[in-house]
Amino acid sequence: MVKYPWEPPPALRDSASERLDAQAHAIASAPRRAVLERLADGPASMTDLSDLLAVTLPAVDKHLRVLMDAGLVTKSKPGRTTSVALRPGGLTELVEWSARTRLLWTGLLDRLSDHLEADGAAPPPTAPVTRSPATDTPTTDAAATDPQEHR
Amino acid sequence: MSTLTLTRTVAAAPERAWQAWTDPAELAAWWWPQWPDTTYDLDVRVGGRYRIHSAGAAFGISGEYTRVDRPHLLAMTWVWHNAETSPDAAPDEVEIEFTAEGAQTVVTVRHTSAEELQGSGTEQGWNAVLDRFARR
Repeated sequence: MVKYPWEPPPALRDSASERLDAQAHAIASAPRRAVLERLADGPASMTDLSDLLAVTLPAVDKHLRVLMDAGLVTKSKPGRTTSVALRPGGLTELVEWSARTRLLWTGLLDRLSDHLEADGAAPPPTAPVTRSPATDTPTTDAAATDPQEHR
Repeated sequence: MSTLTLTRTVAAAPERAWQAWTDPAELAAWWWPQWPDTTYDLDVRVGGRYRIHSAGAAFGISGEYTRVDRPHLLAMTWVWHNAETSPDAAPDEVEIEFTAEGAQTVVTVRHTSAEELQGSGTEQGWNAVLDRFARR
């Protein structure tokens, strides 16, 4: 099996600013964004991409050149078929920020949701400052286990 | 700048969801229960500061509330503090919106990065791509 890894030349992009420009140019195109989104699900063949974009193979290749130039995708030929894949770490810190931040909030919102659902069914793990409707007395004991009326 | 938007529907009315975000004792129940040493200091008013910090995990967040529109909208600046954060780092901005939907609340989080992207006109592209990538 002959492998033809067509790595983009990131060494030529030794300026962060130039890298950013190349990446910005690469994704300032709806078809190229569609390619990147598809590759996020795993490698694709040239035919997969031409079907996706409903364009000819040469047209796919034009887009891929821009993406490779930006260091975002790689082409290889593990067998008889060319395979196109995302280049790991090709996108900038902004992607990592986005992934980290999304993970953070997904976790937080999961816990918020569980917390509020549990509150309706059972006493909350810590009791907020509140007034008991029956006695109109403030209760602030964090260890309180008296059922709170769901508000 | 990039804005990440997430929503979640929670089984409570907006006032209740608001309380879960703004009462320190309640926040402690769901924010970072995995770091039980976390402290929660919240001064919930416009211009008031907040600080959520875990000494054990050696990081936390702090910032200032910029909008306090109970129980609809809570907005704040957001700065991570850990060993890697530059003290001059520009703050992110976070907006939490609470919208009633029947007996439930749709909680919408909008987190805007302070990072600037060079080359105007590509922000929309970045946001679309980044959102999809980050979902994986």
